[in-house]
Amino acid sequence: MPFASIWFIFFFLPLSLAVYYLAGPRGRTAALAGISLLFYLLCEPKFLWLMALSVTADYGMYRLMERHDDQNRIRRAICAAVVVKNGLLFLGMSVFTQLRGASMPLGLAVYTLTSLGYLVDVYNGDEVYEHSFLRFALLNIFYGKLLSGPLMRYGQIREQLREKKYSLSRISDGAVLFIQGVAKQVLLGRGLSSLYQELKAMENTGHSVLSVWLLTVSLALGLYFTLSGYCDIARGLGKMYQLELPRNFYYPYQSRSITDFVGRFNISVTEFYKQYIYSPLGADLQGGVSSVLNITLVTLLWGVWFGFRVNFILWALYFTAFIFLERGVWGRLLTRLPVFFTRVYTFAVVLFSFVIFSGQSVGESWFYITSMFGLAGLPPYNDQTLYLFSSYGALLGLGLLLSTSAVNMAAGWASKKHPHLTSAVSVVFNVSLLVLTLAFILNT
Amino acid sequence: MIGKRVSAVIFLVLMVAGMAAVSLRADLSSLGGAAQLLSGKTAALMEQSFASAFPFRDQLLQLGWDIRFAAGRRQEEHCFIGEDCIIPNIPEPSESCLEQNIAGVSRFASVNSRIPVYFALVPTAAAIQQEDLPEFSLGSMVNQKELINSVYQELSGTVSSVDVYGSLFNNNEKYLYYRTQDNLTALGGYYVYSAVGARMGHRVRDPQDFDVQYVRHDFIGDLGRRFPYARVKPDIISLFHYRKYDRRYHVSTTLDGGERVMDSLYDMEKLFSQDPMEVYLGERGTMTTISVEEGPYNQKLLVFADDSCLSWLPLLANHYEEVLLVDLETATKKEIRYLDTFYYDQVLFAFSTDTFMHKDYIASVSGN
Repeated sequence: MPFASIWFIFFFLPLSLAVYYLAGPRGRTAALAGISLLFYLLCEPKFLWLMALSVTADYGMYRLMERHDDQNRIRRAICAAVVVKNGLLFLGMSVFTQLRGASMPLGLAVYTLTSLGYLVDVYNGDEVYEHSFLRFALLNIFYGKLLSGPLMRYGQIREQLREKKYSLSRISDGAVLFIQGVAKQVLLGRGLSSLYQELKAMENTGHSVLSVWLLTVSLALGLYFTLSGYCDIARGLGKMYQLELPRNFYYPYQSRSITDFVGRFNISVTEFYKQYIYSPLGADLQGGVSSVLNITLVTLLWGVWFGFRVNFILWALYFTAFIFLERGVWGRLLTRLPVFFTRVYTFAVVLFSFVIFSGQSVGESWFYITSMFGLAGLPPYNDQTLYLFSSYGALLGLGLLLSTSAVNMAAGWASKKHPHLTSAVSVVFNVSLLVLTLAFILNT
Repeated sequence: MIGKRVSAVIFLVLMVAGMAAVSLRADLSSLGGAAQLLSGKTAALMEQSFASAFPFRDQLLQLGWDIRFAAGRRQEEHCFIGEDCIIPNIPEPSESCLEQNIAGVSRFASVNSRIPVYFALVPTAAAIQQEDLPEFSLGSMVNQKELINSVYQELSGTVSSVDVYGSLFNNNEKYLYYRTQDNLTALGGYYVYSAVGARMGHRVRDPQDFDVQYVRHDFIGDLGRRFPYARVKPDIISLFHYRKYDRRYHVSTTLDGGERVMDSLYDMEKLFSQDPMEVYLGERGTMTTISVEEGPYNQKLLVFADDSCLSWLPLLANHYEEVLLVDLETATKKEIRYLDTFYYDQVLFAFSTDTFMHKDYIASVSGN
């Protein structure tokens, strides 16, 4: 992960910030676009051409659309061409890399979908034509968000790109968010993912009921802290360059229903699909089969975001089923139940979903499912599981605590009661977090 | 808000100071030019270079480990790191290696059926020092005892196996393995010698028949260097000298086409070299011959072994007129084929379980 590295934090970032602020208000867009290209060149040079070609082609297409603004048929054809090109690029590469066992080109999902969204906005008249290629490019290729989002709409940063003033408080917010994001990714995400990897590497016969539960929890928490860590880093970097990026996660594991969870987990992706697929297809308005299909399609794409695998599709369908059950069967009941019960219900359903997510095949997921309930003939626990639990128990506990808003609420309460003390504590906390994170980065 | 600003200022200052420090100290010459950049390795090379030059690196590594240790972590890169020692957790056996090595030894013993062939698998610290392993960790480890027994079972009838495991395990409260290197100490070597010697029909000497010379108290082995943050004490290197009679030893080793001869079992010059383990029998070559003068014995021994023999072979050598140690890892097929096995009275195979399970070069002993 390029952000959690010494060369990035102590070389690339300070130098790029210096270049960005020395470039002045007029040159900063060009500077940041150049910095983003340099970052890509350092991290994944072999696909730089693909990103450059895709973004330039999209820019050319929408300038062509502008030229034929009064000819609806041509506009429609151009829009369709861009949708097909970006959709195929995203889905095609997803399938291709999955089949080859390779990883997706860095940022492909982010820049294809962002560009596609902008073009659809322009086509619908929701967004103005941006004449500056640099601004258009920056919307798509800003390096902070390339790794894992958040997805942005141009409207969210249009004014910010034109701002002449710099906000110092934004820089400080960004620096703190960046530290916390890297810490989240390195201290929690990496640790929990390593527990998950160890459990995943076990032979089926080496598993126990407890180990399969641990596998699920470690995946759920590891994935959350890794992805939300990336997002905090992206938002932190954005702020340091005077850009406000949207939030992508909002304590999803304390959601009160599955519908609520989908709205809190990978928020920008959910919003994107709602905006560009769900709504144009008629959303819920037509009811019946159409509504079912629309929701299913959006949830399926939500799963495909993580890769093109049968298990991810099943994972998405599992959520679709619960969304419908909540709509038609127990949704009202959930609103009447005490918060504690609805949260336990949601967490249990979500936790169980990660068993589907973690399997490489349907058979493997089925083995995990049956094992969780003691139906696979596994012992309740074994030495191997207890050993892993003793090695990672503290981290799991910390992960569970920090996946809720409890600490944040306590900090908020303390800052109201004792603002000066809280400020002092927060300085010590952030500096300690930075030192600790560096220690863990060096250890890898 | 003030807290955030102060935190940010500290972060930015640290960032700039860190940049200045790493830029001055890092070796950036290895980053290369455009070709390196296009290969996509620049970021990794920069990270390597900057991380190694990072100020307070050792202290930060120490802090990182201390936190993980306090949180319950006891394992890093397949090694258990305890308060007293670092013990590698050897990976699952490679079935093909095992099969090939067993077949190779078996073929050798069949071809040389005139000579008694002995076979010893020496367990690693993970199997013997179970007390030093983290709680519940045994379940995730290879059962070396079971593996040794199954190998012995397969070789039964062709070779005479030696129960080294029992000899070491019965003394496992003693300093048998280095704390910072996965090999036997001189004392551990003594217990292997006692098992091997007895099985090969010798009168095993008591520990008090040897003078023990403690030559280094600050030895840090490869595991200690790999995990510098593990708070493990340095090791002691000791040498066993048989005190009775006045035997004289000559050790000759073929090295780079030439021959190096020593008049001692121990090369004291190597004690402070890069690999202090070379103090035992000197720098390792393909063929090492130990000749014993003024000894009462006239038997000759042929040994095929890995580095696990270094601590006990000097003791066993007392019972022979000549011992030839062959390193199968570096020996060529030609060298193996031209070995005059009829010259020897006994043959001994001795490898650590780790070597036998994961390196297939032992099979080459059959000449195929």
